[in-house]
Amino acid sequence: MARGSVALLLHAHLPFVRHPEHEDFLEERWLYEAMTETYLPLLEMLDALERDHVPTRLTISLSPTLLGMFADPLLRARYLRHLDRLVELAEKEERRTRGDPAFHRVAAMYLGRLSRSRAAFLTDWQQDLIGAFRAFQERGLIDIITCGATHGFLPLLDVTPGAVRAQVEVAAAEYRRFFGRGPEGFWLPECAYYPGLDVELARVGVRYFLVDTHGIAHASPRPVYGVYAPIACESGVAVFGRDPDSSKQVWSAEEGYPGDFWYRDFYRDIGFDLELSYVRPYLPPTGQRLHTGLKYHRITGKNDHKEPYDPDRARERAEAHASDFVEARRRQVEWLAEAMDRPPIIVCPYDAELFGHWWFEGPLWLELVLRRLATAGDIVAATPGDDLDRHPTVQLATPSGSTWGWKGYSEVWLAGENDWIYRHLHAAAERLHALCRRYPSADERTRRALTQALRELLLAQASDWAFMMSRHTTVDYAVCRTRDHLLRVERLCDEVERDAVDDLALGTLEETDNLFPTLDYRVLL
Amino acid sequence: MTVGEALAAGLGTIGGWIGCARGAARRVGEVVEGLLDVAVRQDPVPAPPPERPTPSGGTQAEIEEAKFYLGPGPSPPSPERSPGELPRAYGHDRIVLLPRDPWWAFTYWEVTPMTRLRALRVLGAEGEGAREVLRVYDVSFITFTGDNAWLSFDIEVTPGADHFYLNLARPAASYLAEIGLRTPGGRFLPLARSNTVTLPRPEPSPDTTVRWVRLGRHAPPTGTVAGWDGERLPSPPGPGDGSADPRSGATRSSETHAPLRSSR
Repeated sequence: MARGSVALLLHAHLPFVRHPEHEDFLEERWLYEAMTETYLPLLEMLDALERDHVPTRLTISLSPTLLGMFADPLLRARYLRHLDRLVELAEKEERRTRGDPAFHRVAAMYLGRLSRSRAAFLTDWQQDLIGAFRAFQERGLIDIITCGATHGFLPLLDVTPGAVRAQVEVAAAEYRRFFGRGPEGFWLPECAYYPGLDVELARVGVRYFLVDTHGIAHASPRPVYGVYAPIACESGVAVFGRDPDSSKQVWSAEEGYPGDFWYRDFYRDIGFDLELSYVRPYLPPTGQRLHTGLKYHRITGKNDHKEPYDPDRARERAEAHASDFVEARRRQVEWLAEAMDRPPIIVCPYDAELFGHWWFEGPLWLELVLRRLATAGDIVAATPGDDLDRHPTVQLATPSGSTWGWKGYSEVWLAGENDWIYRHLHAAAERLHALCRRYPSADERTRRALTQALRELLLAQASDWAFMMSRHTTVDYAVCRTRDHLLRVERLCDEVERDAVDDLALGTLEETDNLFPTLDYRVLL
Repeated sequence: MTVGEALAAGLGTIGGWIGCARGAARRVGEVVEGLLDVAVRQDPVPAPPPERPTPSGGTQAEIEEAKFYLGPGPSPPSPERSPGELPRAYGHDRIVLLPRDPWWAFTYWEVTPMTRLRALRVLGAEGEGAREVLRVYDVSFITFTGDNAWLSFDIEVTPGADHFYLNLARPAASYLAEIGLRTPGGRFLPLARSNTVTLPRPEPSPDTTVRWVRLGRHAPPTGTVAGWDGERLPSPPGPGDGSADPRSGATRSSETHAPLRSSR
């Protein structure tokens, strides 16, 4: 009989980036890299666990924007083209490195992995990643939860009527469209909670969400079991809190596993290390050097000197780290169970893209952790939903306002670099809300225009843009996206007000920003 | 002493090791509280500069950022797709307050020239030398009627300014703000009033009442029961980046829970 459980949660999200107007668009590579390095390896991991009959319970949040991109034929086709090129480059690399055993074995490893991923994408999953994840959910290995429609930072949107509701309801509707039932869990974008947000989640039937540690520790009344048991808001929605210790083991710069010197280095890449003429066919048409994903070095140490990557040693480290992680949870559970009158749950949330993309060995580590948990006996892998099924009696308390990330509040998303966006986001939401109320049953063209305006508003609200501005990374693109979507809302509202909707332009916009095909502007009413 | 040995030796030892203020901690709850007190006492430090990623490990933000990292060097300028500029003003009098953290809020506002003119007309001769000020009200637990705030204070804003970060004194309190004109004689004429915000609480709640509820799968919660005679376990850890925890020098809770470090 297990004395406690471990809930591993992976949050998979990327902003909606789709540029049919360009044959090759740099930022679309965010998706392609995550597909190759994270999403496909996670599916392959689930496949391996299932094949070996390993009892597995894992929670995966798939954001609605990510689902939209998974489902999009254009992005699928472009991804396949990207993957084909990558396999071709890996083949060339396998030949080029034959004289150097240390690098050749790494090159051969990439070729093997990429070829398998390509076969899995094309044959096993039929290019349908949503279907693949859904099948694992239906067979009981994973619980899929949802997230804000476009990952809007909800505490800073709660100024205009309908804005938060639209983020929540559209997400739930997309989940139903893809998975055939409502979402049980909701990953708050950036784990950002404010009291009252749970009421919006309750409206769409969500059972639970997650906050950072201090969201529970500072909840009111004070929770008796801290983050080691869920609490329930007055709305009836349960809340789980992030365990600080397991977080540090994976996220921490100093103590975290991904910084092990035997693991593969993220920054050294042949896109920069080799002759430009050699890698040029695999770079954008501009010839700008970029990461290709083929990286031959291990972290090695804290300076720029890097040794060749050794997959066998890295695997040994992943095994040691998986053992360490499970052992630490076992001790934690043992210790907590003594003082609690219900089995503790240790909640371990991570960005999915940490696994594979940032931490190359992450999916292997995760698989090893799940295999060890399956045989641990005294601790067991569970989802938050499993925990509520087993222990439905929960303390009533309201979490405190909180986020995850730097300093634990809104400072990343509300700072000197990005605070200018909120004036415009709020004005656009207010204007569109008022306009939608004027047209509770619009004619077809007005309906399409208002719906597209809502789509553009949701896209402008993505927390990713504020994050990039604040972190000084791809700022131009983030500013451009925010501005473009807001201008489109303005233009569409103008056209509706003047009863002069430009059919042709609307059609182009619907084709370009084609997210949420069943969206209806009345969600704002 | 390894932590494994410490655990074997008993929780009291760990309590002493991490410096539980209550003396020898005999109960798990006390140990956890002690551990987390340590975390709360320490101040976070700013994240490292974002331009140059660290070669290994990395804070949570850097790891999140890696999703958007395609290599060193500047990204090419993004092609703009929509002509035009965002409006400089929307033509409505408005002030909005946004909570940032337990101590700070952000406010932005717009006052139309017409409203300003009307206000100056109302003030007449009194308006000579009037300044634009933000008046901030503490409206915790009340419905604000204009004159019942617990306290208020003014901040004179630079002419032409349209936003400001407010350093507010009381976490967990509720505030609203007005933008208005204040005459040299002290009269205040509000031009727009904001929404109310409640700042987050940066510490454990003083409310220790305990009520339980049974959650149904597709039904409203039932059977609220008050009272509890168990042992209080938890635990107020400090907010912030679960990874970066920037707190140096002192023992961390993870050193007790998860002693086996990755070897370097």
